[in-house]
Amino acid sequence: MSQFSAEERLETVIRQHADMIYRIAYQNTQSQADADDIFQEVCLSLLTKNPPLDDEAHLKHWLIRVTLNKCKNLHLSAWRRHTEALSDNILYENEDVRLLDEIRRLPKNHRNAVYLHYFEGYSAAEIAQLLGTKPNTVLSWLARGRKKLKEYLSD
Amino acid sequence: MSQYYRTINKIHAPQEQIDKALDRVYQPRLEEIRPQKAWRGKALGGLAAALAVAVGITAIAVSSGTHSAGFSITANAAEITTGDFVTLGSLNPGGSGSGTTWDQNEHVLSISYDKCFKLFLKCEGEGIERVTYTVSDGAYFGLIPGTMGVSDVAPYSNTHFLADDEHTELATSYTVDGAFDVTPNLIFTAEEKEGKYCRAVEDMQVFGTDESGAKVIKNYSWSEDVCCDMFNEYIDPKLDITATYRDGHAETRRVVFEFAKGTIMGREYNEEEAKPHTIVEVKAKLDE
Repeated sequence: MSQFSAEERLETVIRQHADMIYRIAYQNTQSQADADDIFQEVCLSLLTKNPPLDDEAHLKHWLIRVTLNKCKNLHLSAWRRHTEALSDNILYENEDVRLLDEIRRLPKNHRNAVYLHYFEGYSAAEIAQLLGTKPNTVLSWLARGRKKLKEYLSD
Repeated sequence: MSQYYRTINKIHAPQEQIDKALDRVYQPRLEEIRPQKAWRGKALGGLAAALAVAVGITAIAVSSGTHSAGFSITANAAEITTGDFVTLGSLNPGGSGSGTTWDQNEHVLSISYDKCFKLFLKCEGEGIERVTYTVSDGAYFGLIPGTMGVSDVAPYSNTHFLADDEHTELATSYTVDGAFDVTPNLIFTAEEKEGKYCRAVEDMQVFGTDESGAKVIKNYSWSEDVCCDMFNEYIDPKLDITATYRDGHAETRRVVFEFAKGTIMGREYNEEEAKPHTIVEVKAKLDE
């Protein structure tokens, strides 16, 4: 039997994965406020959907998929379509803000594939499983995303 | 890509957001999230104590006999129960997908309305592994192909205008992993060919040629009033929601719909016109 309560285990999961959830949300939305909302919604799903907490790899996959789905739902909402995002540059230096703008301009699949590969260290096969596509498609997304970012960084 | 890594690495979840999430973890969360379940548990547990009696009374007030299934259903933030119909929202006034068909041999003009409605569905309960949504009798789903968590999509076979939209997958049924909530379009569809609602049909019979028929069809005036009447008269849409639990057992609840006429002011409907317009409101309840 675990020595930790359910609440303590949830706290550990949230603290451990908070940055990952937030990074995905921030790249896939247009403002910090949207990223805040997505973060809270994902944490709420963690409480209400009761995913298995013991399998670390499975849990991380689950969190990534839920976060991406929440971002997709945000883009679909009628309210979102009729609002203008407020800019927020409070987290970064100018150089970082400009690169983040470039990342956000990438097609969604390219952006997420690049993040999952270059930051989270997932293979093309694993990303394919996460995003529901074929490994070769992911390799293509990675190549295009990397090329666009390199073009920007070399300017 | 090192600069990419450095920049992304500077993104951190704000501490106040983490604290806010953790507050939810440590507060009595069941009362907040699913009050009827928490109260029910307490009422069963405390048979004799005065406190339990008090809580039991609360349980009756909260549940009111409206939840006989082990899961709750909300759509567009409204909880759907066996009580009164609740309004979920209105159909898209300018909704695409409506059409007319002219049968030159029979000289019959049929008219159909396919109206979209964004449905934010949530099915919540303890231990749900997956949920299957099935519509029938005058409705179908529009899904974004490849939506995560969705499987077993049963295609909608009728040929309708929306089928040309490559960004929409038409379905009569789909299953969602219990970890996900999906927001499909729910599209209601009704057709009539009796001339009752199709005001152009007499003109059609007078002219009776392909060319004039096409002209009348083109000039047909789409009406939300007619749409609402046709939906109430010609279709009886049902949404069956089956929750399959981790222990293997399943429960099904049926949502039924009705349609009502509402009004919005012109500028919400069409910026060119500042007059009231009819809209079709969607109402739903659980079938008893």
